[in-house]
Amino acid sequence: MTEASTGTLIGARTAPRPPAAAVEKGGLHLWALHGPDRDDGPTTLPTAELDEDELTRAAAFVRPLDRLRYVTAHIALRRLLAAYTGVAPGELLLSRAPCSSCGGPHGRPVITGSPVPLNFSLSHSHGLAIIGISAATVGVDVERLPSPETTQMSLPALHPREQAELGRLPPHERPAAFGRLWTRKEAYLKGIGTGLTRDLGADYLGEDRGPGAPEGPPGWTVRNVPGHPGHVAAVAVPSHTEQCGTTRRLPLKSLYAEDADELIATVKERLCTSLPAADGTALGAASGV
Amino acid sequence: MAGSTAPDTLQLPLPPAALRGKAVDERARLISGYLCRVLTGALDVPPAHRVSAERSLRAQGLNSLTALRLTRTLRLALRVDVPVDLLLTHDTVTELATALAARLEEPTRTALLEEPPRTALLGKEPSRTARPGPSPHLLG
Repeated sequence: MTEASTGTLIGARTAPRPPAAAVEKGGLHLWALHGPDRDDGPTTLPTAELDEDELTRAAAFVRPLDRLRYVTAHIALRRLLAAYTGVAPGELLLSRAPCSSCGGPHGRPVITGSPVPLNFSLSHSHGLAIIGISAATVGVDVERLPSPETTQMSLPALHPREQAELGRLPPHERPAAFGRLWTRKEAYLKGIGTGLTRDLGADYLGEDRGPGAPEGPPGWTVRNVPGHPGHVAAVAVPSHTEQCGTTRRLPLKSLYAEDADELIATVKERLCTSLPAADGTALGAASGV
Repeated sequence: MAGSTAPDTLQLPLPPAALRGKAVDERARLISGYLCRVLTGALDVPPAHRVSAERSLRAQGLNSLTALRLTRTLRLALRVDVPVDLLLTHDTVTELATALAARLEEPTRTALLEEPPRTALLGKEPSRTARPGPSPHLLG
C-alpha cells in the first residue's frame, strides 16, 4: 500500500533533543509492528501527534478497524522518526517530494526541517506495518498474501519474464510467489519515487538469477522481508546501502509511553536474520518467506 | 481477498460499443453503477452496506493490489487500457467513472484490445510492454 502524508504543522514548538537512535551511514533499519487485529472501541492512542492530513484521512475510513490500523501505523512512524531525529512526534513536518515521473505532489514521503537527514518508507496492510529508515532512499511494501484470483487477474500487468516465471510454478505456489514479486516491485517503485505511475511491465523483479535472466533494476537492491506469516513484504534500497540483517519489532508499548525514544533505542528483539549482506549481485533475491 | 460476489462475472449494463454511443455523462453514470457493484465484491463491503460513489475509494478499503486486480476486470469489461494508477489517483467512484467514460472515446486506445472477453488465462495474453503508444503514467 502506498501511504500519503502531505500535511504540515507550523514551526517546531520545542528544541530538538539529541536523537536516541541512529542509523549508521549507509545503513537501513527495518521495523515491524503487528496489530491491531480488532477494534475494541475508543483507544488512548496519542492521536494529537498526527497532523491535519493524517487526521482527515483517518476520519474518512469506512471501517473502524481500518481507521485504527492507519492511526496506529502513523503514530508508530512518527514515534520512530522522533527517536531518530530528536524532534517530537507531533512536531515532525511530513510531506511529499514531487513525483519523479510526473512532478505531481505524490512522490516519496519526506521529513522537512529535521536536524538529521533521514529517509523513510511506511507500508501497512491488514495488521502488519513495516517501516524502513535509512540515510539513503528506501521503499518498503507489505501486503496480505494475495488470493489465487487476485494473482491470476494481476499477472498480465507484469513484465513478460515475471509472468512466465510465475506461470511455470504449480498453481498452489503462485499466490505466495506473486505476493513476493509484487511487494518487491512496489517497494522498488516507492524507492525510486514513481509509485505505481510507472508501467508495471517495465522493470524485471523476478527471482531468476540464471544465465540469460534479465537484469534487475540497475543500482537497486530489492529483497523480500521474511518472517511474517500471512503477509508478504519487501524492501528496496540503493545498492550501496548496507543491508540490515534484521527487522526490529516495535513494542506496542512505545505507541503509548512517554519515554518512547528510550524504548525504541533499546529494542533488543530481532524478528529475522535472513537478509544477507548486499553483494550487488543478488538483486531481487527472495530470502524465504 | 475476493469478496462473495466475484467482480469478474458482473456484466456492464451495455456492451462497450453501445456504451460508447451514449453521451459522455450518461456513459459515466452507467459505468459508475457498474463500478459500485464490482467494488462491492472486491472491497469485501460488509453485508447491508454499499460502496459509496462519493467517498474516497481508499477510505473504503481500496489498496494497490485490489486496484491492480480491478484493472484487469475493467479492461476486460470495457475493452480499454486501464493503468493501475488510474484507480489510485481518482479518489471516488464518480471521478473514476468519469475518467473511464472519457477513455471509451479514444479509439487508439480501445482498438488495441480486441482480445476475447473474460479469458484471463495464464500466459495467453500478449505482453503489455508490447503495447505501442505512450506509457500509461503519462495518460490519465
